Amino acid sequence: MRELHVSLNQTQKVRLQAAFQHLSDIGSQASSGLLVSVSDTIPVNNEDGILKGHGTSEHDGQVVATLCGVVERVNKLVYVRALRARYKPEVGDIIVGRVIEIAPKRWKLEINFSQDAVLMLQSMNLPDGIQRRRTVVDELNMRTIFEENDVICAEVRGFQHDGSLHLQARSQKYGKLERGQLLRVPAYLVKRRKQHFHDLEQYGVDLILGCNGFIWVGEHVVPADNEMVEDQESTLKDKEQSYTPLEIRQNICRIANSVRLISALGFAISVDAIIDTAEASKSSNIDIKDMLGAEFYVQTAEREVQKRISLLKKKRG
Amino acid sequence: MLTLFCFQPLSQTQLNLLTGLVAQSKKKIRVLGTSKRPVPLEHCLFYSGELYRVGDNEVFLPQGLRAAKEVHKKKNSGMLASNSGALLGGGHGANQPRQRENFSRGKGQMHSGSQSTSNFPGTSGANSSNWGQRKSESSLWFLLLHKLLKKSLLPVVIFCFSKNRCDKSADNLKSADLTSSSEKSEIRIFCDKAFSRLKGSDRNLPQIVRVQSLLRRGIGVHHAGLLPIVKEVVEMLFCRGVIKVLFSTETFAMGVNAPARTAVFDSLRKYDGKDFRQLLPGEYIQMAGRAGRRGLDDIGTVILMCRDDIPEESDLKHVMVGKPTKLESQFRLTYTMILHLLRVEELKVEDMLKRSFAEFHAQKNLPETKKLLLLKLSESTKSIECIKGEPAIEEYFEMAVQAEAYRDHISEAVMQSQSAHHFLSPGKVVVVKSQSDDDHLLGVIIKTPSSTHKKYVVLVLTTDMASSVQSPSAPMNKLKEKENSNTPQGYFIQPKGKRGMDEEYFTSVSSRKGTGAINIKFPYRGNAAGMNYEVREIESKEFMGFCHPKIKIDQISILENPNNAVYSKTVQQLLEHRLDGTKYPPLLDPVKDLKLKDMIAVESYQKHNKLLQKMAENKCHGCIKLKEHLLLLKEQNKLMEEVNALKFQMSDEALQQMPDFQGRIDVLKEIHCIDSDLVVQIKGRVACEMNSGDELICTECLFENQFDDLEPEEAVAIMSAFVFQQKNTSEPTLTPKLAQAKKRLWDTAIKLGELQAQFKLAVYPDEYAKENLKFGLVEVVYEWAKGTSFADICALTDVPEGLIVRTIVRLDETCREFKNAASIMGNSALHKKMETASDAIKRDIVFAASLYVTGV
Repeated sequence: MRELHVSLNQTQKVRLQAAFQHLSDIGSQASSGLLVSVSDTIPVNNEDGILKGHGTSEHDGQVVATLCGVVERVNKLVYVRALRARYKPEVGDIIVGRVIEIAPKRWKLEINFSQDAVLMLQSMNLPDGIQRRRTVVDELNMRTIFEENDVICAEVRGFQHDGSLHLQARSQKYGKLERGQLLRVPAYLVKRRKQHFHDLEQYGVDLILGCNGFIWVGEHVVPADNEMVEDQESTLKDKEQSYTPLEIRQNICRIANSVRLISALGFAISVDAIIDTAEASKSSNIDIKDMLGAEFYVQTAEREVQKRISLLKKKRG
Repeated sequence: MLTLFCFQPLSQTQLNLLTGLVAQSKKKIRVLGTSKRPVPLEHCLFYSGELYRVGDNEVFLPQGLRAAKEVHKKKNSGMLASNSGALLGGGHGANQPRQRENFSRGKGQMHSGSQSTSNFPGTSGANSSNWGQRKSESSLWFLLLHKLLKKSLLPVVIFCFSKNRCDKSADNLKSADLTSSSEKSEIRIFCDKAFSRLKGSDRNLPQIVRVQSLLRRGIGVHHAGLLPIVKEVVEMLFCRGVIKVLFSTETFAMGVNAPARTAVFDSLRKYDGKDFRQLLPGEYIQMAGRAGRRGLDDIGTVILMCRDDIPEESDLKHVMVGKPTKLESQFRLTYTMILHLLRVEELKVEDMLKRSFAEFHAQKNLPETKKLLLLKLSESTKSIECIKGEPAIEEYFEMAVQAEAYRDHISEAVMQSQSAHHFLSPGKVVVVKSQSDDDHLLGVIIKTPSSTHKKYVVLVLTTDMASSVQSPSAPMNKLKEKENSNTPQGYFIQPKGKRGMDEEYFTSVSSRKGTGAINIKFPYRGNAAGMNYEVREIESKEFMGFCHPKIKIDQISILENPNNAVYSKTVQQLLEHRLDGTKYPPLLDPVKDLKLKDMIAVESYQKHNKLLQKMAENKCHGCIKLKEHLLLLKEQNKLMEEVNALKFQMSDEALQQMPDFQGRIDVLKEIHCIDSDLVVQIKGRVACEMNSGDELICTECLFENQFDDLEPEEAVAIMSAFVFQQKNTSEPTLTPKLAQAKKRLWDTAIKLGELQAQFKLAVYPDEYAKENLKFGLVEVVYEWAKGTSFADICALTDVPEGLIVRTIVRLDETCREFKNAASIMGNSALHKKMETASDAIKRDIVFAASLYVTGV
């Protein structure tokens, strides 16, 4: 995603600085984790028989960090969780990606990982919903399902023995994404949660927070039923003729701009934060195009400070 | 559209259940099936050298069983006679059976051609019992073989239900030789080829040598204790038809498609890991189904061996044509499953539980429950029309309910207190709770409870209200009356449903019993002095309160000799106490007058009073429609409760496995596999990799770095505890380091067991550890990983070779899982260690490629 260039005037600069100062104060109060940078020694009792995990290495009998990040401990395992890192897939992650190539029996997807992900034809539900062996005809018809540059949503299935990453899309939820915007934010801003698919009813918008930092904001689609095979074709034509109403388009833009703003500020991206920002922009009568402007930028930062302070107070009782 | 192939014999009910389950998720389902068996079966009993037909295909034939029973009876009596004969000194009778035995053996040996050295005809029968048993056992098999040979019913599969029995029975047939010379050479060539892939020393393993010698004579053994390669050789030779007799366990009926002409059951009872039990019909059918080769035989013969007893008819019928056992859900909720489901968004664990067969019945009724719920919801729309405009009736109702609860509590306390008892003497004026509404009745105690009569007898004045209640019960009274008139001692005749009449007709019975007898029927209703009254029995908790005054009553004449005059006198006395305006005289105060001392009771008494005050302040208190509305509200509340119950039934909480699931979630949270939002953490991801052992123990052991100080060989030896399954084995001798590692692992398991028990799961720490950690092969695996030959490690333990091989093969799987776990954790040392360990165990006979894959 392009960096946001905000031209701030003098007062806005001061306000923003104050807000960030507050945030770093609160952050240092709240987090108890140990921050390390590369080559810092991680204090451990050597007698303990600790288990060195990711981002650690042994050097002269001492455990040394090989990443910048937070030291995490689970029982005897010590590892460093990197603060800013490329997306690292885990089984079960929901990701949004873009098809870059169609290969024999598979699609290759760009998912912001160090390699391209593979979606096999057999780990895809066929459009007719029947579970059967994939034939040569299916293989020839792969382009009718996904083409190059299509944006699709899938789930991480696992790593193969050769280290390649495989995806699957065995549900109506997964598949091609249309009529919306794809946003790319740093992957570390998206946390793994129970829910990554969100249907924002009040806006008529679907929001998918891909764990890989690709975020989809699009028009809400009703998941089609498996049984209505014949109907699907006719509705498909209907859909092509119909268009997304202006209001929903605006909503999509507003949500998308909220995401842009939050990621530009470097805050964690969650549904609550996105809706909160969108609502705030609406209530203070800020146009969609002005959401990325200096004033709202600073306002959002200040609101975040308020939110964290109140959260901290609640925690302390 | 979904194609489901099912090759199990299923009954109609089972089929319906199964299709119902499938139809739940897939809407369309068509069932095709056939009950035709291409080769029909014939069931026989084998007793003392003869076959008795007891079943034909699906039909039980009792006459065969009867014939067998008769022979059995005759023989027994013959034995008895011969025994007595022997006792009398004539050795003649005792010799007879043995002679016959020898005779038959001689016949069997005609084919074998070799004379067994172990059987001397004429050795005295009074040898050691073991010897005798063995002899009779082997003779029995010979008898059977002879019979089958004569009827050309070979090849035969003999199902024994333990590995030991299989081996022993095969060894018993040492002298039999069932193969021709050309078959012998075929077997020899096959065996040599198959075993040539083994290392030199492995080729001479005792098991291989023994089985080879058996095979050459046309006898096979097949059970889990055999080495995989030996099992494969036996299976392949059997399919070629050169093995005539195969002793096998149940496993042969399951996995291998190798039918024979005849199937023999060694017994109808088997040990299923817990205790001895009768075979199930399903198991019997599965095994019996091995009989009859399609295209080769017209009929398959199933034979039941009878040793000394003929099985009961009911037992036979049960296994042969009995109803198959009910289908039961084998769904087990495991931690791995929960974790796998938690890390994907698509399917919730609750959905998974819902779709299991265990919940099938509950889920099947769901649509009906939904309908019922909708119906109930539509009913409850009736609203209360308050005449005062502002309905405060709900509040009032709540208070009333609460007050009721308090009152019950108080009266209970009062009744239990000592002081209350002397207030409850006959003649005391009391207030009694009425059944119909919250209006209370004035009454007088007539009789206190005695040992024979547990309840108080009270005469109460019923209001008009109560009399209207009485009217619907009038027909019942009439009925009672009829009953009474049937008996010679009809005590009274009630005016037939004519309430409100001043005159009463009583006919007192002349026979007068002793004092204390009650000659009226409860409830006894009547009318005197313009008031309705009723004599009834009540329990102590129905008393509302006591009043000060006491009136004189004639207990005897009321109870024993119902007299109208006496009643009216009592009623009048009572009426006097009814002051104007109020309904009953002032009650005794429980605290002041009855000296209530119980803290809680007094407290609730005060609360009760406060509540009553509040109720009086409520504007509904004086409302004329109060009673009606209260009734309506009561109904509505009942409806609400029903609706809530239905809603609960439909919700996830009603699932049977829900408590178990919640407990498991809590355990996973406690050991940090998942966080409070149920997002799977690094530990949970490691646990997901663990499939071969108990996931929790494996994970905990990894995260405690228990393998840190162990060499790869030692680590893999300890890991064998996860995959080995036999319970009772010889105790292995361990190096100190291994013993220490073992103890550490054991302690971990105990700790985890305790944790699970703490969260109310049905887990007992000791049992849990024992179930999941079996250290029987630690030494063996250690030696194997160090490079000892297979023959040597077999000598270290009493575990059969086949199980050792299986354990080590599975161990390789575990090594791979641990390797994956290590890469998730990011520890390269552990990764390397597991790789080394895996390489160390992967060699020779244990990992010899399958004959089916490579071909011979």
